[in-house]
Amino acid sequence: MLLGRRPKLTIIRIVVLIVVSYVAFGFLFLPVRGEGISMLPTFSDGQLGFISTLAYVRTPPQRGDIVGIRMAGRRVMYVKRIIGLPGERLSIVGGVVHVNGVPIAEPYANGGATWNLPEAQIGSDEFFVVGDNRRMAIQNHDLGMARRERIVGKVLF
Amino acid sequence: MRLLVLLLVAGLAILALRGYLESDRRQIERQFERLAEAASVQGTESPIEQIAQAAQVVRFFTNDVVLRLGQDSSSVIAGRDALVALAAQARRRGPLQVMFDDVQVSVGGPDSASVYATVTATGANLQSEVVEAREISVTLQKVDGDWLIARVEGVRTLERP
Repeated sequence: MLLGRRPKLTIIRIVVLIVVSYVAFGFLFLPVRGEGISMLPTFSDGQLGFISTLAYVRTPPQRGDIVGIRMAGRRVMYVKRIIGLPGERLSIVGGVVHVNGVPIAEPYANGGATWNLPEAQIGSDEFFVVGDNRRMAIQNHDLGMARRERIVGKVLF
Repeated sequence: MRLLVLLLVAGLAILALRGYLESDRRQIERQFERLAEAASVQGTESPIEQIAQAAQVVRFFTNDVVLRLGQDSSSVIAGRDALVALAAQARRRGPLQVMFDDVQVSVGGPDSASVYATVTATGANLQSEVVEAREISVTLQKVDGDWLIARVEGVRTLERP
C-alpha cells in the first residue's frame, strides 16, 4: 500500500515535511541561483546557494560577508560582498580598497588593478558592496552603497 | 440546510474569485505579464517583424509616456514614437527574455495606479548569457478602460559614489 501500514501517521509526516520545507526554504534559507559573472570566482554563473535570513538577527553584517540584496522584492537579488561598513570612508586606488585611508587585504578579489573610485562617505545605515570579479570593467560592474533594510541575509554555499 | 450553506459558501467564493479576477490590481498584473510576453524576442526577426512587434509593445504605453532609467537627461525617452524606435532597435539584438518580478500594485484611484517591480532582461552576448536587472517605479493611467503605462523611473538599488 502506498501510504504504508499506518496511513494516518504517513499523512501527518508528509504534512509536517511540507510545512517545514515551506518555512525553511520560503523564509529562513532562501535558495538563490547565480546569474552573471560579477562574483567570480567565488559564486559562479548558475551556482546554487542559500541566503540565511537569520544571520543578522543578533549581529550586524560584517566586512567580507557575502550578502543577498533585494531589489523590488526577494525574487531577484544582488549577491555581493560587503567591503565597507556604516560611517566609514571608502575608496579604490589602483584596484586596492582603502577604508578610512588604510588599504585592506582582499584575498578573495579577482584582479582589478585598473579600478579606481573616489573616496565616498558611507551613510550610518549603509554598507558598501561589490562583487569579487574585479577583472571586468568597473563601469560594467554594479557596486555601491546598499541600505541595511535591503540586505536580506548572508549567503551560505 | 447543510446543502444550502454549502451552496451559499460556493456562491460567495465564486463572487470573490470573479471580483479578484476583474479587479484593477489583477488587470494591471495581467497587463505586465502581457507586456513581458510582447517585449520578449523568441528568435531572429526580419526588419518588418521587428517594427510590427515593437508596435505591439508600445500599445501598453500612453502617447506621452516618459521613461527615465538613468540619472542623466540622455537616458530619458519621451513619447510612443521614440519608444517604437527603441523597441525595434532592442529586437535587432536577437533572442531576449523579459520578465517582471515582485510586481507590487497600488491603485490610487479609479484612473491612476502605480507599480513597483524588478524587470529582468536575459539575452546573449557572443557565447555568454547576459542578465540585466533593474528596479522600476511605474505610473499608470486608465485610458478607455485599459491600464496604460504613463511613466517609468529607474530606482537605484545600489548608490554608486
